[in-house]
Amino acid sequence: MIEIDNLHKQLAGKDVLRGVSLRVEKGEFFALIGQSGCGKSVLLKHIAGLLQPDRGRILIDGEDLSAARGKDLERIRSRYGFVFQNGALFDSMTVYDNLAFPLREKTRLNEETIREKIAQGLDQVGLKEVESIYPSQLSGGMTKRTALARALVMEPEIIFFDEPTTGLDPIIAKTILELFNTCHEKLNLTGIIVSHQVPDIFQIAQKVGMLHEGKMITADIRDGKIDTDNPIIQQFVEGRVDGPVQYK
Amino acid sequence: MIARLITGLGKFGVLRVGSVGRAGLFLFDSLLNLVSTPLKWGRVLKQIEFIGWQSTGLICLTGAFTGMVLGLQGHSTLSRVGSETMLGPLVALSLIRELGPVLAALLMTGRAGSAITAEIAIMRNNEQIDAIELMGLNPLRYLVVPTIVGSVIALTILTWIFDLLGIFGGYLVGVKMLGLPSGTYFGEISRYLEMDDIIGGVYKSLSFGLLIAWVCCYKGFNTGFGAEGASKATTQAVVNSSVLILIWDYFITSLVF
Repeated sequence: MIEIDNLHKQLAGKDVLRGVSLRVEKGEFFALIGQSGCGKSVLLKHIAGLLQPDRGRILIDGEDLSAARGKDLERIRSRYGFVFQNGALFDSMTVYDNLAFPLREKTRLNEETIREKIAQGLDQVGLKEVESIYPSQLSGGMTKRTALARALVMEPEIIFFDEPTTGLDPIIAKTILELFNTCHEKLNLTGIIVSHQVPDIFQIAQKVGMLHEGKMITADIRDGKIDTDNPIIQQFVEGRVDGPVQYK
Repeated sequence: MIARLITGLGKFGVLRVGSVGRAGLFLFDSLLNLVSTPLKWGRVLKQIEFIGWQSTGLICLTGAFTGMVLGLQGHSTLSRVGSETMLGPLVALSLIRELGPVLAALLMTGRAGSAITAEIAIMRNNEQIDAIELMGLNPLRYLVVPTIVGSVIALTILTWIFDLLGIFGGYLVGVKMLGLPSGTYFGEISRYLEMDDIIGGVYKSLSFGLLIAWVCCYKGFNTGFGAEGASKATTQAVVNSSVLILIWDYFITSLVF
């Protein structure tokens, strides 16, 4: 379970997070939405432990992530899988080595078992015969799939997706979201997904949170539809120009 | 006006001190990882290959020509005082004690140091370093420690190559071109060259290797955003490393010789 309590962060003199509180239950998929530049990725990086909050706490199954350092932080992060917006694949390594890297470094598996796990991982995301290819030779959709395969190969308990469908055509974007959903259902992962892909994102999430002016507004999702009468979320989801959210 | 100037200077001073402190902590953390975790020998060898092996041609060429220039200049100067026979020791001692370590370090900074910074800066901007951290791994152990060890080993070997080729270059000019007896050239070198000179040169190479890896990795890790940030970080890494090599050279010379 992920609990965020009154998180504050100032970056370059701007209050990006102004008391964000949030709770994601075990096995729940949480969609994080909001205007561009509102601080979604900043919040995600806090939960991942890549940024330190100015104030507030982040608890991962009751353990205070913001106070964890060194080996403790590494241990908590070992439970994570993270799919970056651009994939963040190691460009000097082949797809095979990208997937093998965490397995070689974090486990004592022999190369044969690693090879089997990689084949299984690539098959899971629908990729074939890409092992010897370098990331620069992959298409956008293939990069996201490879990044997902790399995140899943270590069998994480908690997974984060930072705008995984940005820059992809609608069909590939939907396929990627379906893939996330399949992996989530099969592996019972707890997940947070940052996305602008509304309303498609509501097909795979159980709860949605909108970051607005540094604060979190949450709503439930029922049968693939958002269940809220909050005018801010409604305006954003419907993509209306007029409403309480002012675009400058 | 004066108050604003003092405030400005104060802010600049605080920023500089903070920056030096962060760089010092980066080095401390890296050295701590070097002694507390098993070394990634595969990555170390890769760094030695990149920093050392791929620089060999450049080092041979510049080493030989530096020795040849020393031969020409040294012969011309020494002949004024009738001491041409001292050309060998002049070339060898200049190279081993001073020019070899410093020039090899400056060349390595330009060729390999800039590439190290650029690579790490790109990894930082493409979130590859974040990806390593999120795997529960320490990026210092994977990126910085092998670079430090590789750089120290490679620069020491490159300096020896530079020295040897330089002495050979001095021989070509002094003996083959200007007619100094071969026995005199090498005989005087063995007479005046002491083990302390060689050890002092090695100390210099070791410390310069560490310095280059430290500055270049630190600048890469703390790069600005985008291509402009990476480019600035690379320039700063080369300039700072080069200046620090020359400054540190003075202190280490006064310490070891």
